[in-house]
Amino acid sequence: MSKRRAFIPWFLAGLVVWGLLVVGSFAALLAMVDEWRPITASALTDDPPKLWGPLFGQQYFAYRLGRIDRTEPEIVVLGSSRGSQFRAEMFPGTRFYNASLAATSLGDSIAFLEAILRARRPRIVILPIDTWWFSPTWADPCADAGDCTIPHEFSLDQLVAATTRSMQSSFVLYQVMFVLSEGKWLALRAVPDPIGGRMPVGFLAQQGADGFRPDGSYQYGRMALGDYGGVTRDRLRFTEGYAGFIDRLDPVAAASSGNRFGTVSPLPPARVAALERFVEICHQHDAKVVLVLPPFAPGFMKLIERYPQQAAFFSDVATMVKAVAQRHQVDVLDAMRSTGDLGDEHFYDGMHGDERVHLALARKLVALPVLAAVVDRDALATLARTAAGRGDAGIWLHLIAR
Amino acid sequence: MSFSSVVFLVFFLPITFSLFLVLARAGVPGKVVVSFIALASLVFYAWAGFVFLLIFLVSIVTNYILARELVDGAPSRRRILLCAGIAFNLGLLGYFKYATFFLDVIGGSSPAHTVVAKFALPVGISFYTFQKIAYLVDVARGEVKPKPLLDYLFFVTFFPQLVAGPIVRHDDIFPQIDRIAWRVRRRRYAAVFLVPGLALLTVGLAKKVLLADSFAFLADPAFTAAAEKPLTLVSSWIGLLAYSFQIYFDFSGYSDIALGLALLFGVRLPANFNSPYRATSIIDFWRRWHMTLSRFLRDYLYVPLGGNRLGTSRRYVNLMITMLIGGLWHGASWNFVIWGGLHGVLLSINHGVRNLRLPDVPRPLAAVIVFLTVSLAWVPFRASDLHITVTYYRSLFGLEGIVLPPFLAPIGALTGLMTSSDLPSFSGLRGALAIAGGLFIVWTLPNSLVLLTAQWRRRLVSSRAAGFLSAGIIVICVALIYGRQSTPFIYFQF
Repeated sequence: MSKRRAFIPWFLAGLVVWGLLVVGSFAALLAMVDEWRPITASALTDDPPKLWGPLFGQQYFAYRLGRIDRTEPEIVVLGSSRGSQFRAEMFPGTRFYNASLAATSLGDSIAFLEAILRARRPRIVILPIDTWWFSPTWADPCADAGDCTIPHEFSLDQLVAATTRSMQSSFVLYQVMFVLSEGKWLALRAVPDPIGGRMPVGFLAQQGADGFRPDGSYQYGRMALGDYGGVTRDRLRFTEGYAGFIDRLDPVAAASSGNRFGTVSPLPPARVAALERFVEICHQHDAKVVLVLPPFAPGFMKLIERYPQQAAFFSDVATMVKAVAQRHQVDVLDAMRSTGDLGDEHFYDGMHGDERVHLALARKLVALPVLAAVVDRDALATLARTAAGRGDAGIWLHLIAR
Repeated sequence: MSFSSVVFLVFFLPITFSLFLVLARAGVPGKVVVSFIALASLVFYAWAGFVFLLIFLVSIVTNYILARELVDGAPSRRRILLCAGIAFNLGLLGYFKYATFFLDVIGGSSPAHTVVAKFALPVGISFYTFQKIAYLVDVARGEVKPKPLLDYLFFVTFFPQLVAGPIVRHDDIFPQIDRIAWRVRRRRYAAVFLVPGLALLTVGLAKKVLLADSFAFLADPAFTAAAEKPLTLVSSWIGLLAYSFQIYFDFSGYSDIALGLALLFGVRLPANFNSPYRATSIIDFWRRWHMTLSRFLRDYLYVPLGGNRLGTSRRYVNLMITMLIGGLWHGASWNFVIWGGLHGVLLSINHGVRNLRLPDVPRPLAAVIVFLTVSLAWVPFRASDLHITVTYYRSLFGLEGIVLPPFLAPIGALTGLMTSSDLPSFSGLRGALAIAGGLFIVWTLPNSLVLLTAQWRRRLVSSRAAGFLSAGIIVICVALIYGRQSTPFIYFQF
């Protein structure tokens, strides 16, 4: 090729090459980790049991609906990752499904609730509530506008957008680069996860045993195996009084969009109304509802107390939730500051309690009349005794489940 | 339709450009090619809404008729027609952009507020209003004869400059219209237009997507947080300097894309930026920043007001009026008026000091001083109201207390200033590194105008690496835009 006019042909060739490289690498990546097709179809089946841990096409909503259709649960847990450690084993004697992470805001929770109530009728809905659902910096267009369009079906367009977005995340890039450098590709695809022995579907499940179990609860695989990867405890420096969180509580960061710790007083009326609406929808469908304020680590709450605005905001949220529960005569469990004899080490990062925290929480929940009537409390007590016998050493409850 | 949107980069531009090339090279009359570009430009504009298109078309037809009427008749009639034309254009702009502001100034809420608040601001109205006024004035002055409707339509609608400039004058565009098809058919089209156009498009897109949007991650939280409470000294400076880079890379990126797109279509647009942060005085800054706006304000406001012909004090008054109006042009709020006023004062001081004939400050030091001064003036431009402006200035000057983040502990130890672990541990350091990177780019790297010089053009045309790399940057930017939902250009709101 003549060098005189090299720019244009090389530009055109570059468009093709770079285009293929970018599109091809995304497509190859998705295909290799089994995230390129309607994953719900492959991940929904129980034979063999799956661990569904996608990194890119995290279409939890569609997956959750599919699983609920299949399992027809009596008890459903909604909410964010902070309720994700409730296991089916903690509610013995019932059909249980943990749909946490399908909806990580009030508006999404309402949309999801309406979707499951249309198809199935769980008798009891447990809603762990996050304080930031009432924060102005935590976007919740569904609650604020009262209009939600969450795709119920697998969407290729959404997958492509999510993948390109994911590939811009330093966390995702780190994960991908780490795996590439270790040469682990394909090696783990056919290998059951080392914790629960389930077949992994998706990047996170294959590479770190992270993912959703058949009961919908989330398995923090790497952390259970002691690999924190510098992304949680280390980065947030929980052993130094959660110093890593200070970055997020600083007024500059707290006021930025997406931060969980933006404060406001009084609480946004649209969000409070959304919570009331959630309860009303349950009532309309004869489903009982239990509102839960999940615990934070004691050390984290101490940090919150150092910021008067934060402390007041947390307190306002708790007071409001109880008031809503009282108005609608539904059960509420405020465990925000109460972790009993469980300390900071029982939290992955100050906000996310581990299985032991959730077991303790489940025991409090089943003491409520609404759950006492359906859960086999003796079996739960036995489980708690067995778990206590295992102490704090590493992996425990998932081995019981196995 | 934003230049940094997938629909523009993946669909509109390739389709429009391909059809344009086919038409131009097929030997169809030049008027057909120009008509096609005008039509495509109207489609581009209509993307923002058909109501906007309707308003735009009414404005075009009215101005076209007025311009034709301006050439005949007695001077008094022409003066009346010119005044009517200016009033029509300013009235349209005033109604859509300033009515709520002026009603607020008058005070209270009224039914008029409700009526006015219903209408969104038509895209690009600030830019095309100035362009049309300039044309009417130039026709009235006899500098240009009224052009045929198609030429006028092309002049006003040409999509690379339609939404946010550069603000073009008649002599920038009209002499080129009849030569577009001819230029594209020439052998040198690739070397003189196509390659520099693609290169400018690439540079502009990279400035917007890779640089401006990244600096926004530092600037936005600082200004948002200032609405609630004062910032720390370091946070406020990092936020401010990040905004200085964000707006520069955003707007100059936009201008590069506009110039590049125009070149693809065989048209040269006037440059809008020439390394403004290397300016060694405020006067110099305005010769390098948004150059076509400066030109408009000088030729159609400052000079008609008397410029510097009526004595020193009148010159300063004229400068202040020009800059206050220039500020208000950017947006209907007191903050923009303050920003314009600040620059008016700075320009007046600059002229005053220059008259004293003091020894020159070393150029690097002068550039630093001008950069910091201009950055400080960005505060009211970026802050959403006066309260935030005042809070932000107080934080910048340490009036809210000087507390350093941990990474500056050695400075704290030396100076006795307090260091607090309550401040972000590393975000300050990250911000400082980003600012250093921004300074490196604006102070040391060649600006994009060099791509238009003959020497760089020759190097570009024969460079395989540049072609391949440009394509890569465009593909990566499109992928980033697709995933990130890139923010619109700042100047689109004006």
